[in-house]
Amino acid sequence: MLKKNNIFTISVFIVLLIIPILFDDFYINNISYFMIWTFISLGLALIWGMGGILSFGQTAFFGLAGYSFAIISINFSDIYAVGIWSPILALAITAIFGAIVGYFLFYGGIYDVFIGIVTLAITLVLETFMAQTAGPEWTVGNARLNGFNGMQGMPLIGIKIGEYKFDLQGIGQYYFIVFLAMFLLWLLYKIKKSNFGLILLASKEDRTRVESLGHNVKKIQMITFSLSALLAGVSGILYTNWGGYITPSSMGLIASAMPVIWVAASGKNDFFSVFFGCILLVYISQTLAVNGAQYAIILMGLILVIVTRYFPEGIILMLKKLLTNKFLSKK
Amino acid sequence: MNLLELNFVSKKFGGFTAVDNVSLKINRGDIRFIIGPNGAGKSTLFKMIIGVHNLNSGQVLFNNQNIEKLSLNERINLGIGVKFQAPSVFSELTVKENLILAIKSKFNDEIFSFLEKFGLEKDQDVLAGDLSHGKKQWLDIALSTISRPKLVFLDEPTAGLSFEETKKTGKIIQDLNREGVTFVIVEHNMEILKQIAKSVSVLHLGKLFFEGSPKEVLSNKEVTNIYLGIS
Repeated sequence: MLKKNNIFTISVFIVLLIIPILFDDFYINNISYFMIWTFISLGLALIWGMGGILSFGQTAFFGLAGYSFAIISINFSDIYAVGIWSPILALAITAIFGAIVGYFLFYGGIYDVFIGIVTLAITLVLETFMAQTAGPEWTVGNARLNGFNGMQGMPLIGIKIGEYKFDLQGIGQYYFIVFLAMFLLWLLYKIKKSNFGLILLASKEDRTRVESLGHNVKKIQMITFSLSALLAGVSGILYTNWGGYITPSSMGLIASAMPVIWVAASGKNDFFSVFFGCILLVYISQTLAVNGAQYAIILMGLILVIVTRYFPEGIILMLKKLLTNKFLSKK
Repeated sequence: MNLLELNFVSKKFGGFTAVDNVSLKINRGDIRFIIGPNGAGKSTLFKMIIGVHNLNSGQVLFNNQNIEKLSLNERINLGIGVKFQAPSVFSELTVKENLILAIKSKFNDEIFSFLEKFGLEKDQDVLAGDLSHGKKQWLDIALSTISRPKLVFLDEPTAGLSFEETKKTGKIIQDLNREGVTFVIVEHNMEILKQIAKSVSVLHLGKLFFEGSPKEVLSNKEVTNIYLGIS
């Protein structure tokens, strides 16, 4: 049965599915780019909105996945189906790294604001490290890390079967991202309604009480942190594939603040609001960035301040609730 | 037969000794009240047993198993239930979701019988944060007991309850006790002690001061003096 809340989700996806019929490749590629960032935002909504744990360093996983994908695919470009298994391997590396960081955070008793500080430190350390890899000695096999200029020249995600070749670009890339987003949103809603989701939601209120009901909260938080790293990794790989490059600045201070702003402004407690809000905010910031990147950064900062003060629940979530009450509350 | 045994347990916070060489034995089927004036060490002792506070010395045996190295959730999974002093239900979850979280399964007949037992069946879809104080206390007790633990610790289960609510709480505890659950209850309320206690331990200045039946404890002059602050 169709639930009221699903109407917005279904409407947005119908619009997304028919966009390629109405617009040319330029717009399709741009909208693909906007949607790429929704995965890192959904990961943050999972760990922050559901788990109450603010990670300020999701870009570390974004960058790690992007660089891993680039290094693996450049080195093994002549091995069959590298465009399929290299992103999967890069995601596995990212999820394992996320689990290791999560283990040290939660089993080490690090909580609250300190998680934000530690995760921000991780992403800044990675950015600084990658930025100094300009010299010829910084190569991994055939792949030059290339310092601040970043890596280029990686093969596209895709596969060749006989004469048929599918590369993830253009309309194919667009629809892949839309269907992946639909699948992941469905999966995240399932997680939210599961016992795992209940433990996570409850641990946001009172960790000790959840443990006193016999649940291993640290383990649940570690798994969630790893899942959120995985989602950030999806964005990192798709970003690398979309532009054909990955640079250290994707793990920098400004980059790491952006997902926090998108998720807070959209409504961190609702996955659909985060998905839709992220697309809108990336669109706005990219449009402004044409006239100067600083305008976009100032506007995003301003949005965060206004949202924190006046719409703590998030603008998109608030609008969604208003529209639901206005148009869908009566039978 | 002992279900829980404490041997010379102590806890210090800096230079202050909150619990000092306390030894206790709790029999299966008991409803043991732990009483004492404020600062006697009751809640600290309770938190030491369940693993929120580490021991400085001593031994905790549950079902003849040494448990002081286990984490809180590992101790719970051995068959222990806990209710902390302040009602700690999950306010953003519904009453039903709170119980699903505690029983670790989907909604089932057991959950419904507990909702009925605690008079919460009409509130099952209400957010726990919207319940009255009394209902929050009952939901909290339900969370501690729904997984049918062998031993349940309740820290002030009747705090803030009316006389009628206190009586009903006592009745629920007695019913669960008849079904085989052993209770250790930290409490100030003497009415519920008189109603349901099978044995009582009195703590004073971190030490075990007196043990006996409710009648013995209530008629003991020194215990009365402690409560009145005379000794």
